[in-house]
Amino acid sequence: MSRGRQSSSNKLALIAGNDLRFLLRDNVLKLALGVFVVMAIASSYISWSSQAILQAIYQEGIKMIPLGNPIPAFPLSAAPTLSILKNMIIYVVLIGSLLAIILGHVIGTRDRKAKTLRVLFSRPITRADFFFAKVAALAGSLGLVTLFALLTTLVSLVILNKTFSTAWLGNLFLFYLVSYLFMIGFGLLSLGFGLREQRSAQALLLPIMLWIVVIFALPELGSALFPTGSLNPILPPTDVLQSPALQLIHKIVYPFSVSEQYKALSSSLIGINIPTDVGSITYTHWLESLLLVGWVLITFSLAYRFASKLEVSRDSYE
Amino acid sequence: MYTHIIQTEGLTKRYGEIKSVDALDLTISEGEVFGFLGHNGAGKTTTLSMLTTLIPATSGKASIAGLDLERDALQIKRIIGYLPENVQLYDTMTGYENLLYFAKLSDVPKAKEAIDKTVNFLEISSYIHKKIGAMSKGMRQRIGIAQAILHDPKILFLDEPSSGLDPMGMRQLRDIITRLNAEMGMTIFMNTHLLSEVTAVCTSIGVLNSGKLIYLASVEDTLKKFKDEKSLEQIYFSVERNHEASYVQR
Repeated sequence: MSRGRQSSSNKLALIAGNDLRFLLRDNVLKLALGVFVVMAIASSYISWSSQAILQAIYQEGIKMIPLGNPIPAFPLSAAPTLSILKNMIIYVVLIGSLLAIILGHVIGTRDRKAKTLRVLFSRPITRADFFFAKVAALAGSLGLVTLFALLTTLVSLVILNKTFSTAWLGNLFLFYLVSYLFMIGFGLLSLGFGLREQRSAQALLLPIMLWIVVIFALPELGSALFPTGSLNPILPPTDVLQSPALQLIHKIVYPFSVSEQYKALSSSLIGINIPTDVGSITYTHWLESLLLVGWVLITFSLAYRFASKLEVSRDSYE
Repeated sequence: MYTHIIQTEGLTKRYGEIKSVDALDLTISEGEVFGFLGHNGAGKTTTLSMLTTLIPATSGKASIAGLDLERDALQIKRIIGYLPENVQLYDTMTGYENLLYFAKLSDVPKAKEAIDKTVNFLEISSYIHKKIGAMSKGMRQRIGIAQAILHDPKILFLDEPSSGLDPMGMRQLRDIITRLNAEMGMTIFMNTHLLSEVTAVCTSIGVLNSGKLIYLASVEDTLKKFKDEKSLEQIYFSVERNHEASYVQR
């Protein structure tokens, strides 16, 4: 009997496609899509509604100006078009990254939970095929939800009667690309733990612990606050420049504070500047972009290393 | 060309200090139905995992149809079929979807035709479009066998295939194994501790005890050699007893 030989890329597409179908059937992808779309709508709505309220106040206010006096311009008339994404930044940091962890976990643990690893690896596939297929499934599913969020933002901008320009369209695309890079790092970590760990709870808790470190601990240290500064409002704000110890911690930790890099980069892409640190370091956007790419490369390498520990000889899973 | 379709020389698997399989020398000829006997923990599944390239051997050599186990793992995977103990497939997919997935993973050129052929052979067309999660143990077992044979393998590895099956299911399974061997010419390597199964379908047997092969012969020769024993069960215990006695003597 003649036997066909599928290339590695075909097998990769086959396994990744099977995972994506599973995500759709199991409603995980639909839920993730829903959350992203709601996040994009909420961000646009909150931004529009606050501007509309201010505009109404402004309209009432100008009625009180005596005739003949100059009327000041509406202060938000110069607000950048993409400022409606202001809230999206924090949604991506807090919710998007967690959703990426969930997607990574589901994709990474699926075959172990179904106890099909032995059968799968008795077929002509390599561990590398399997790992890259899993990464492709993660990249595809996260890409799909990010694309839906982008489309939702575009629709919101059309509804809000914003004038299209190539400049902000480009920045909108870059904003979601940067958000995608930030989130996929968490997905890769979760995927790696999902492939390595023999226990489902451990496979989920370990990336969540790292998420806490990246989202909460590093920004706090990187911003040179007292460790309890943001939790305890009674403490006075810290002036980093007056504390050599905090300044040192800040200098060491800030480059690794990926969420700070993401916030700085994405806010500049949408034309606003969110003050993210009180320290002395400010990076160029190129450096921030490089740090984000480095984040993806490091998490990819970690996931690959974890996947090499994938145990296929046992089908037991707790 | 190869003289034996499965051949191992000093095949050993060690987990730390424990030797799960200890210097296994085994030869199985093409067309045999080989029953690999041994109590729980004897090292049967570890042997099967090494022969199916799922885990690497610690030392020793093995070849499957002339292909080296370590060097030619991917080619070996193309010519073997494997059914693990307690068949597990994707519960949320139908039997057909599972088969299509594994057929494509196994490089089957005309996957749909191969599935139709296998479905007819195993007479599973009435429930092939049911979700695996909704199938009985016997149905799953047949879909599992279909998964293992649809790429027309030369050797089929079965790990405790009748585990959890009711008497009817066991009988049907034996019929399938016999037909796969007789009609499709498959060599079958079967881990089992059910001696009735061995009597019904096997042409040769090996007995593994604490990782060591303590007996290897054809079923015919075995029955001649132990003609005073009433059943294969008694022969099995006799083989184990003799091994223990010789071990104590040494």
